[in-house]
Amino acid sequence: MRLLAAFLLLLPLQSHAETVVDRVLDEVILPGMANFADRTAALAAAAQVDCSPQNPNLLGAWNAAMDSWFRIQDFRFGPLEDGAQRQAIAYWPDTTGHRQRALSRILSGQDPILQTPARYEEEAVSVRGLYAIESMLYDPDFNTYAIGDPGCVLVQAASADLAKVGANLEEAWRTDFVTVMRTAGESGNARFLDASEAVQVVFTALLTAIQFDIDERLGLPLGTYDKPRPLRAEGRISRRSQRNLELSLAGHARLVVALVPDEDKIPDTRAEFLRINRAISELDDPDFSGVSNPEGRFRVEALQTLVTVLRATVNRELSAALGVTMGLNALDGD
Amino acid sequence: MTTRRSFLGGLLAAGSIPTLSWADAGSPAFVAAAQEPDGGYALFGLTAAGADCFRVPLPARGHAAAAHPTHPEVVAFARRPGTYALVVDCARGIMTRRLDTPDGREFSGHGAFSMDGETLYTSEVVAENGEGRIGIWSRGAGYRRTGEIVSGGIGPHEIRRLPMSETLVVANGGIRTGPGDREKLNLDTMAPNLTYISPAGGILQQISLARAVHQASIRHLSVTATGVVAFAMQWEGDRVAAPALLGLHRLDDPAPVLAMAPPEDHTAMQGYAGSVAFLDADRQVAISSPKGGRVQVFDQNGRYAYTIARQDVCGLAAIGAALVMTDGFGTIVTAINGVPTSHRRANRAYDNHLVAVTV
Repeated sequence: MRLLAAFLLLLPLQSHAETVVDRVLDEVILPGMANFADRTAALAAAAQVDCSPQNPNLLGAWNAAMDSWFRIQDFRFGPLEDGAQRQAIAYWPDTTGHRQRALSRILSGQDPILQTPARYEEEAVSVRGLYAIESMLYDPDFNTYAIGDPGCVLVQAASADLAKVGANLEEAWRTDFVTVMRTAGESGNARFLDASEAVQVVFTALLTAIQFDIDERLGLPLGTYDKPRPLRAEGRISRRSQRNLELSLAGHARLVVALVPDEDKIPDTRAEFLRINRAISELDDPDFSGVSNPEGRFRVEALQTLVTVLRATVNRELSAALGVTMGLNALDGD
Repeated sequence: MTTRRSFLGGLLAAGSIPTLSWADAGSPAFVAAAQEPDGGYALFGLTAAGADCFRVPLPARGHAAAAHPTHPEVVAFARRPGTYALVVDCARGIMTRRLDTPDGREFSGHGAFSMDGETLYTSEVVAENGEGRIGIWSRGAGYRRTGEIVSGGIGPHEIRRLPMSETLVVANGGIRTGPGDREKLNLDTMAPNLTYISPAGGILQQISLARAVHQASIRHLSVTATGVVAFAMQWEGDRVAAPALLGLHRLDDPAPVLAMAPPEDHTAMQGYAGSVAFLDADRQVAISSPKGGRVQVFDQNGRYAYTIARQDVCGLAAIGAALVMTDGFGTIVTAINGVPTSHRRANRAYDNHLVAVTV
């Protein structure tokens, strides 16, 4: 897979928007939200037609929705954070196995939600969204259901719920939060008190999202040298761990370009993305199970180091280019 | 006409030597530690409107400070595991004394003064095993260390004095770290508590949390004029199960009131409250989550009221009806009932706490 490479070849994008915020909104966020709404609607439709885990259309639709998530997962502010929508879409990591237990309760009928599937949004976030559907479609403990079984109803209910979340998210961005961002600093805007705060929020979200790749996507399966945790890899059961990481990084790259289209201002950032791309192209570890052997572990650790350097580089170059900084409270509390 | 008696009385009330008051420091309403663009650290005195009154360089990253009740003097604490506490003369904008912990002790970032301001209490840990201590320092003797008492738990963090009382209240966070280290060593067995303690070391009351939420580290405190203690917590357990992050308690009450927003708003706090402050004449209480980019405000009974979205917000203090917030982008914002009324930005990153100067 060369997902990141495919994207990097497109750099730099031709950009016509005038301000940083307009570029981010018009080139990344709004098309991303529209795409996610479309893909999740398609997933719900596919599940409605044929909910069985052998249905290639359903598997394709789920993978497309998952891919689409990585176009918007960076935007950890506004509609995605209101009412825990991010968790409702992508509750991960789940290191204590909440999802498995909660899904089992539903499937066994202990939790009667499947009698009223339209109310699936009231369920815990661990059984909602992309990763819950992933469990139902790929986890051998769950993907043996047949049409008409509780598992089938669950997949249809969870897909419909996810589509609704996707549609609401797109609408909230398009009709409301886009204006909140574009009017940053204007009187009456209580959310962004200066124009710089709208840029700040995007920049902070980007660095937080890269940190998530370092700590969670890579850090969780790596565990410690003595105790690697391959079972904790995101997307392990669908064998998407590496793909998810690549798409995540491609999403960051897309956002970086919108923030600072002039690549001469961020040469080191571009170099780090290319370096990461080389490392990923040599990885070939779809589910990160390689962390269990020394050679595979070395490769994943090296990648984690590169992403850590990327984050520091993005912080340095984009801070300078945008005139904003990363706050120090969010990441190392006390 | 000034009589001899009232003249002498005035002198006695002011102390035996000419003294400076808070007004001499350009009337700071708050102090806050910050990181500056060059990577260095400083303590800033700020007016109610957020303008700078003074700047004192710090040798390393700061955390919080204890404001003297009457003199223009604060003691600024290093971030834990802290090696320094600096006495700062805010009128002259200079550091006048450096406090060092005795061997084997580390500052935890917070402290409090006695009613008369003559004794400073500092939260500390025994570096070797994380056991809590409260260091006792005599201001009159040039901030000489005169003793210590146990804090009643592991890893004490913030310490406050109850109003009109010498009773101290300590947030024993429960987390043990190694010497000179921030790595958490005992998350499985941590047992935080809220301890009320007399300056002589007698434990008056100790409040612990239910076993199921023993991983909620009690870390920060705010106290009303009538002695209600708000404590803010940081959840170290499984993030989906994050319990309440705010508790309210009054000495001698059998149990605290735990306060929490509706599930979806609560989840957005990411199990983390970084500061706590009463506001609006103690009618409301706010907790901040820099990780969740928001402040949640509750009423005095612990009922959730509203959220203010601010990236990297952490420092909280009150002035009149307003809540004052600082963030890592150098912004100080004043809001009334959640609506920003003024803000000011400086080229620095404010650190975790905004400390009100209560004069």
